[in-house]
Amino acid sequence: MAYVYRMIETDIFRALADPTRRAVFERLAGGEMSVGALKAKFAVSQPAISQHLAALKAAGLVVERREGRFAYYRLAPEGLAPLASWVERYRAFWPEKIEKLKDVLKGMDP
Amino acid sequence: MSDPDTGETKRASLGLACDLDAPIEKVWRALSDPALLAQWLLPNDIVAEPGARFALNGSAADGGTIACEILESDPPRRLSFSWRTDGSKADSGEKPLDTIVTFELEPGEEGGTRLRLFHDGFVVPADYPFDAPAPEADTIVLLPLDLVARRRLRKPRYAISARRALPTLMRLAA
Repeated sequence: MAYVYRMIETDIFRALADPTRRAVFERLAGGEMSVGALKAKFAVSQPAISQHLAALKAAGLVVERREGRFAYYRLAPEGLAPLASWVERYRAFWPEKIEKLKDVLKGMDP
Repeated sequence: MSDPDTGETKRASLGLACDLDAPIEKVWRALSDPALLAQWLLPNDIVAEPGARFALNGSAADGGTIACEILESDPPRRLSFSWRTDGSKADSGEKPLDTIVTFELEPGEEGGTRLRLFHDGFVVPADYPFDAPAPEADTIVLLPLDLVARRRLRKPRYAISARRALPTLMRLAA
């Protein structure tokens, strides 16, 4: 059992080693998104996004939902080892917050 | 399974560096005033005095309510507080978070402020990939926030020993 778990974990981290793929994963942490909506957030082609999603899906990190010709992705509830999920979430959290801080500073009295 | 008890984990920190277009006192206010802090971080009742406890009301994705205690407050240069969750969101399978967030400010170029943020104390599996080869188990992952920081640090991401993190980062950013 322990061995299997380690194997799965290794797959997870391999899947997240690619920066774009990790960014896609982090974006999905905010909620379910269509492939088209995801593509709009990244400067890469739709086939590239689809490839990243396929890799994340294969690693059990995201799940797909089909609706007509549209595919939607969200994080798999049990996908990421709990240990690593915090650091991944905060890796996305802080840059967003600091961008907001910059806006707040602009609007503050001197 | 990866577990702190088996030794198959290591500690990791997130680190960020960026230049802010505001004087240091103004940045300090944005960090230490509850209303201003709420505008960019999370709703809170911060009192920036050593030992003061406060809460950050995070979304479920952020860990829910985050319990904080000021560890260091040295206006306008350094603010450090604990950042903990109780892990009561049992349905999410999350482990409680027991970390420390530190903001370091120093006057930057042209009246601006250099901000360094460290979020220390994450526990990750031993094979978790750092952004660059880490020489020691106790490592810090430094993530520049924007292109300015990226240029200054030359490489997009660094992983270096936590003990040497600050002087190294200061040298790189100078």
